[in-house]
Amino acid sequence: MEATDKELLALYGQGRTDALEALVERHKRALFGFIVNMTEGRDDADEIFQEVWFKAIRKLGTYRHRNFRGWLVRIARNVVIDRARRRKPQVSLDAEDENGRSMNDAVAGDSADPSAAIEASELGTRINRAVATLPDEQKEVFLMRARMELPFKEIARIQKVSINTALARMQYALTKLRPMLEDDYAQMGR
Amino acid sequence: MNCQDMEKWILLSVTGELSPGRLSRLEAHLAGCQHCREFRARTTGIMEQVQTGIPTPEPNALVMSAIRAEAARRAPTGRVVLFRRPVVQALAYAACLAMVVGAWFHFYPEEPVVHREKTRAIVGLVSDDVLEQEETGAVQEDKEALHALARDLLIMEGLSVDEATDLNQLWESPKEGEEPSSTGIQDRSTLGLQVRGCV
Repeated sequence: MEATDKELLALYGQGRTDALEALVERHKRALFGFIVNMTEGRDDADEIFQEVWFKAIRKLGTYRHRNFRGWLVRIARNVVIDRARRRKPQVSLDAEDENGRSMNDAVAGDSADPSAAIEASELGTRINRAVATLPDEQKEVFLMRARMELPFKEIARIQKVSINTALARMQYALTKLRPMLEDDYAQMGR
Repeated sequence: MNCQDMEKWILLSVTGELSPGRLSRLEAHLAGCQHCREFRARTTGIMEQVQTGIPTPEPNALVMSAIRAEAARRAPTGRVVLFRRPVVQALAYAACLAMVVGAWFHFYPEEPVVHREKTRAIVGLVSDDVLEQEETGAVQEDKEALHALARDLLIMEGLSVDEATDLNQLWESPKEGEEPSSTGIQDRSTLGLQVRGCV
C-alpha cells in the first residue's frame, strides 16, 4: 500500500530524503499544471514551482497535517500573486516566442502519437484559452478543483471565503466555460 | 431548495463533501429534474476534459534536481522536535525549567536554607560590632569563618572559587589607627558581579 502524505512527511522528519522526493513526484504534475495555468503562459512557471517547494521544505515545521496538496496550493498561490504584483505586463497565452511557438503550444507538450498530440494540443489550447478568460477568483477555484482535485472546504480555506462563496464561484466558472467547450463536449458523445 | 442550491450540492457530492442525508435529498431531486441532471453530466464532462484534455507539462529537470538538493540539504537529522511553534516552544521550555528548579528545591530543601543562613551570618559579621571585635583582637576563628562565608557568597553569585578567593582578599581587616573598612560583603559581591560583567 502506498504511503500517505503524512507518512512520507514523518519519514522525511526522520531524515529520509527519499520520502520527500516521493512527495515531490506525487504532486509534481498537478502542481506544475496549476502553476502554468495560474501564470497564463508566463515563462517563470519553473521558477515558481522551485520556489514553492523550497518554501515548503523550509516551512515543514509549521505544516499542521490537514491537506498537504492544499498547503502546496496555498504557497503556490501566494508566490504567483507576489510575482504578478512585481511583474507587469503579463505575457499572453497566445503570444509567440522567436520560434513562433506560443505558450499554449508549450503547455500542450509533445506526445508519442503525432495525431493524438495535435488533437490533445488543440483541445488543451481551447481549454487553456477558455480558463484564461475567467476572472481570477473563479479561475482559481476552477483550477484548484479540476487540476488539483481539492475539496471545496479546502478551496474555501485557501481563498479565505465561505464554502458557499467557493461553490458559487465554481458555478459561475462552469457557466462561462460550458459554451466555450460545448463542441468538445458534444464530440465526447454526451 | 431551488436548482441553484442543488447545483452546489451536486458539486459537493462529487468531492464527497455532502452529508448522507443531503445526498438522499439530492438524488430524489435529480430523479425529477432534467436541468440538474444535465448540470451534473456537463460538470463531470468538463472536469474530464480538463483532466485528460490538457497535456500536463513537466517541470524542468534542473529545477527537479535543485529541489532534491534542497530537500537533502535541509533534511532533519532525526532529532525529535517536541514543540514546533516558537512561542509554544519557549513557554514549554520555561515550564520545564520551572519544574526542574521546583523539583530541585523540593528534594533538596536544605540548600537554600544553608545559603540564607550564610548570607545572614555574613551580613551580621560585617556589621560594625563585629568589626569592632576584630579591631580589639576578637577571636581569629571568627575572622576566618567570615572570610570563608564571604567566599561562599561570592561563589553563590557565580564566581569561580579562585575569583571568589581573590576578591575576598580585597577586604583586609583595618590596620591599627585606621577607620574600619566600610566595604561590606554586599559591596564586594556587587564588585564580583561587575568583574563578571553581570551588572
